[in-house]
Amino acid sequence: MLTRAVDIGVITYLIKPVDKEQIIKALVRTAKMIQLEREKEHYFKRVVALSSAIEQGHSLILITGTDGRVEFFNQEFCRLFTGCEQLKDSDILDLFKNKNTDYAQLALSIKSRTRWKGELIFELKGNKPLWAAVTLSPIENSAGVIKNFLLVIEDITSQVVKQEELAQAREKLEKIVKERTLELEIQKNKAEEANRAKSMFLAKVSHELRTPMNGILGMTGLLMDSKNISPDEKDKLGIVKQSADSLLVLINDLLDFSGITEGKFKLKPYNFSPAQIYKRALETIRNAANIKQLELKSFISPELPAELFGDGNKLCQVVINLLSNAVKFTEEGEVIMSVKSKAVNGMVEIETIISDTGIGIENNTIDIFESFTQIENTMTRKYGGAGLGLKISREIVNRMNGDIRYESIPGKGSVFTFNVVMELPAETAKNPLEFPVPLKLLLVEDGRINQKVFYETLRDYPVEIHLAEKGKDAIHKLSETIFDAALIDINLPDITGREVAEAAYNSINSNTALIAVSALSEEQLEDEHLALFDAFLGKPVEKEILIDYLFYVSKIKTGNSLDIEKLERSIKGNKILKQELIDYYLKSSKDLLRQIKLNNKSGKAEELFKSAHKLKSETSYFGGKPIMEITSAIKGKISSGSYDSLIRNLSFELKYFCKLMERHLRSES
Amino acid sequence: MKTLIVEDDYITARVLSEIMKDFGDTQMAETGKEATGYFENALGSGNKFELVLLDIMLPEMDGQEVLENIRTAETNIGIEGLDRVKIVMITALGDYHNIGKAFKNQCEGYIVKPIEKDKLIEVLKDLELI
Repeated sequence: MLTRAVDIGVITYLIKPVDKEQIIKALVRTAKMIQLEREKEHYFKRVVALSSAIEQGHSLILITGTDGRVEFFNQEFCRLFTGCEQLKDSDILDLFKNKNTDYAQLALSIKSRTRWKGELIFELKGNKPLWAAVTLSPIENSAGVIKNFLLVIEDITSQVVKQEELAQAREKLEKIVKERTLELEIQKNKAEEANRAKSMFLAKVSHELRTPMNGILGMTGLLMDSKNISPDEKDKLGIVKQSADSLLVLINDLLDFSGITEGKFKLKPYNFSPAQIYKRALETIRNAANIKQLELKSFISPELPAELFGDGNKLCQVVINLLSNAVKFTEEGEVIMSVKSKAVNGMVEIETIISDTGIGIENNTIDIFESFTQIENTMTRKYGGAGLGLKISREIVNRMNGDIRYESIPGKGSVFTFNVVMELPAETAKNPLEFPVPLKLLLVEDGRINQKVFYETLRDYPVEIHLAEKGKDAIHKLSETIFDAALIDINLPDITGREVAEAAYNSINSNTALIAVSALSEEQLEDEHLALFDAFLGKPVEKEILIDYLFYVSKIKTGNSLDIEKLERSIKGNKILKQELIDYYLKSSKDLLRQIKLNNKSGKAEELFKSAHKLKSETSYFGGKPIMEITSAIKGKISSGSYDSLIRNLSFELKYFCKLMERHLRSES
Repeated sequence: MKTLIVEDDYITARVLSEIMKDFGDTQMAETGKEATGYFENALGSGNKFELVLLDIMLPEMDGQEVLENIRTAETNIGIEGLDRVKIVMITALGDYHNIGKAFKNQCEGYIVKPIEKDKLIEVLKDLELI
């Protein structure tokens, strides 16, 4: 009876006689059973929901035992693959194809029962393999023991394919870029090679052009100085000189340009009159301004020093360049140049402003200080010019510790301003009468015209010239007569100037001042070669520089800075040691001077200071005041200016000092 | 008196050795590194130097650094006060600003190039070395 009642849905029952306690117990029991029923129902719903999610979802889901054998797979497998039944009981490690690190990690994770995520190729027999993102999760039972693994597999084939395609495309692109870069590099090298060849060619051609200019300019100058020519002839010669001057400017521009591109551009400082330089620049372009009926005005501050030490010729080049640009680009109105100076830390800063009323500069985006730049290509035809001037000008100004800039209003005009910093000269220039003592000079020069230029240039000076036309002749003369100085052309027909210099060192003229003369620029000669000489003189020969050198050599001759007693005070009469130390100094000082010159050329300031210091220390035992002073000046020089002139003077001084020392040795023996 | 002469300029080195040979053994060093080595070796062997003539301008390691090295080496083995070696700095004209630093680093005296025998002897007498 009771069983039947339960069967048809009775939850509980009471047995008569019914008491209160029994009823309460039955009610509690009933309530508990109802709750259990509800929980069951809830649990069941959840299981249904979860299983439908697993069955109907688009993820591929596998459940395996801890041994990795498949116990369950969802319907998605059967939808995607044929023969999904074969999945049952198969080892999942057999389902994944690639045996790489990921595969090994999957196997390891199953063994160690840990979570894992990775990418593998999934392949079911008879189906196309697919790229799968696999997540492996261990599943614990209610007692917390791992009994199963859940594998969720996502088909990422299309992503991988895309990635692969992308990678391939990238690879292809990289290859193309690489090829292009290589191609460009080859082309760049070719272009650079061509550029270098062009610079070399320019340098060579300019050099060949400069050599005959020496004769033209030298002879014209001398003719103009002579007293027996008519004013008319003088005017005509003036025009010859002016044309030759402009030609020289152009040639020098070309040479400078090739020097800049090869990084060999250098200033050659000497004592000059800035007023003269500005006057020269104005005169050079006056004619061109007159032709265009432009007014050419100049204001030069009276405070401008009478003399400065610097590369006056290069300064002149910048001024001429800016003035001729101003004239070139101005059709009517005026060109004004104003120059003022101020003292800065014992040096002189000169500011030059050149303004015009010309066409102005339209486009501010173009760097007009770059080579070959003119604002419009059509303008080049109208206005001419190689487009080298401003680049060279900027280079020169920068080397003179200054800068160049401009302001311009199109149609109204332009204003160019530049500053340069220069040193005050140590000693002022000289006329023939001020030459301290006469000099005996050996001139080693094969060119007849150049010989004549030297003879004429030095005609009024107390210089006795002995000529050697060939190197061998020079060596012979050096073995017979002691000279104060030798001017040696380094391109001789028989042997090189270098060999002549070396022969001088090994002769009675081992301490003769040697001046190298060449139409090649200083930068084009080897440093080792130049180090044999005390000074360098470029062709066409500039009279001021030549006279400067010879004046210095003459001035040194008036002094006697050798104080041998100093050494005697140091070592107290040890004659053998005295002899040894003098011999040592004669050799060592030349080595140190050579190091000083080479370190200067290669820009190694620190090494230069050290060699100068050592030379100073060694010289201190023999007096040598001028050498002490110059080496101190080299060490104390803070400005970025060049050491060239200090080193040249040091070289001249040291030669004479050694000469005095040798004379002393001879007098003792 | 055992003297260490540290000088890279040959003429000064020869002049110094010529003067110092009358007072005992001399050892020459041309670089700071060499000098430090000689000094430390002598200190270790017990036959230590009594005087160091030390040029300030030396290649690589300069005289100031050698001076510091010597004083550190002495302090490390407990040599102090009057037991320390006497150090005379050698300097060129116009380098006086270096002398101040050398005195701070505990040198005992200095002498200016060109070295003269009488002047050096005066310095040595001042330091009661002779």
